[in-house]
Amino acid sequence: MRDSASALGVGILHNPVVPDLLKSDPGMVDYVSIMPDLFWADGGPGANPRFSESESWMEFIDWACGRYPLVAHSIGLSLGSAVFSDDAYVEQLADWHRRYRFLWHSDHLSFAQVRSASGQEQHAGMAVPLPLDFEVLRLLTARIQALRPRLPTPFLVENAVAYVTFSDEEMSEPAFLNSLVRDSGCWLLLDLHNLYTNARNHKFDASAFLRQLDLDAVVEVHVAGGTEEDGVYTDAHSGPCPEAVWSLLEEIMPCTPNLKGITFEFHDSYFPIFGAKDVRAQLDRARAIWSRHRPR
Amino acid sequence: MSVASFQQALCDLIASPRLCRALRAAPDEVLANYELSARERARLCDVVWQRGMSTNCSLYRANRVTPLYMLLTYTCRSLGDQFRSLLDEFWDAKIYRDGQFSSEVERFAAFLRKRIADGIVSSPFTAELLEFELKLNALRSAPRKQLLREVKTLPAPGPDTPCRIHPLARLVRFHHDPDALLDAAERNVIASAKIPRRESLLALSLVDGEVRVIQLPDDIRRALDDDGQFLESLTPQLAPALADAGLLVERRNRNKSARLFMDA
Repeated sequence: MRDSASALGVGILHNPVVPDLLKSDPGMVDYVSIMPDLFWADGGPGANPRFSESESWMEFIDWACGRYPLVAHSIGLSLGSAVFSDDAYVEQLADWHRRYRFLWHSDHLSFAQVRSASGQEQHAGMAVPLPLDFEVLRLLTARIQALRPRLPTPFLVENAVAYVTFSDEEMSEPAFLNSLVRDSGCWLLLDLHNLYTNARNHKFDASAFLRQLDLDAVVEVHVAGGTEEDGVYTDAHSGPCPEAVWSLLEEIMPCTPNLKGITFEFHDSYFPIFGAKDVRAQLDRARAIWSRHRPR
Repeated sequence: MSVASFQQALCDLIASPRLCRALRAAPDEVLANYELSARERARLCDVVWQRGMSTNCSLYRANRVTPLYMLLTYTCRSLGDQFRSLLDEFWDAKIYRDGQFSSEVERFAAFLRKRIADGIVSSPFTAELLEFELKLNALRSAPRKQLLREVKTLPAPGPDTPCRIHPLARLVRFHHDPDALLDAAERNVIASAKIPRRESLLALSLVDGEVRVIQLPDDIRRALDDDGQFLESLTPQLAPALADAGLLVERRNRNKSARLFMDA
């Protein structure tokens, strides 16, 4: 075990309605997951100042950091990009670690940013999954190895949701993740809803996937809900977790000795339908599972 | 280069259902623009037939329209049936650079201003709603506490003191009745609304923490040139309505430390 952070329990991923939820019901979570990128406007490389923090959002993080343990879940590292590096962005993340003492840092196993042959930057508009090949594994390993010394906490990668599959891949996803953990020294953020979404759309057995995965590497779990659109189940974070996701969580709990927290995610645009009581019910259910497997 | 080119091609496909269709019809023609291995070519030819590629294209469009609809809601509503075709044109012309809301809104605003100037936008309300929302967004993203601290260090202006508008306020000109216009935009009936022409000037203020809209008298409007600059030195005497609302602050010599204050 390379990580010294203690187990936290149940957390929530911050979104614009979370501050009011927490202020009215502070005991609903044990920790808060923060997407740092949403707290600032990024003027891009060369801009001065490069990062402008949003005053109203900063009020929340300043309030929360005195009350809850915080973990960071960034969306801008674009770990899988073939050609991309942004030292100023990494330095900004490192600065936030110094300020807010995040217990760990996670980002996604995907790419979002590309740079054309002419040097022009382009955003994919979504997190794009990667082909599971050795070449990609080497690229990710080198990038994570370069990143880890710059962020002072364990670094986690989140398994991706993928609406398309790539033919002729060299590795299975569990084998790819196990190799990445071994070679790069990263940990896993196991998003069970991403796994459920992929298993449902691409018709494979999620439990068999989990049996092949090195569950010792899992530090955080994400749970969420989704919706079916035109025959494709999407990771929309639109409401309660499907029963199958809770079952997967029950399955892994006895086999994840390094798990520190279960984070519930929902998108604030669904909050008018999926209200405070529903959020609380999801967190309570996660807590019941956590407590059953991690008695104090 | 091959992985980079594969990722570029995949991004281009996700951004363009039209390109996906073109790849289905003529793969050699479309993929000639990329340096790909045989396996990467085969993967791209395969993904454009998968149902999930439509989901990717929809996600791209939803994620790209979100900042526009969130920060330029009234403007988008005013475009009515033209919104879709203008979006397609904007997305074809301007790549999604960085995923940042503010820069995407700025790029769309510049694109829309050009279309308005070219006479392509049919709504008579779009131009003023665009300027209104851009100024509102600028206020909402301003470092309010810092600006208030800086204003607090300034002495209260006398009647003849040269002033400028408070950094947490903006003036917006309307050519149609602003109450009716903003009400129709709020109720999402702006695309078909008939609103009488009426020249007016509003002040938007975030000084108190909430956006306050103040209708200003005609004499202040007439004191502005076409670019919204005051024709003569702005003083409390020239614009008592602004002074009474606490929206005039003493004009000071520009220096580096006051840069943020001046730019607001």
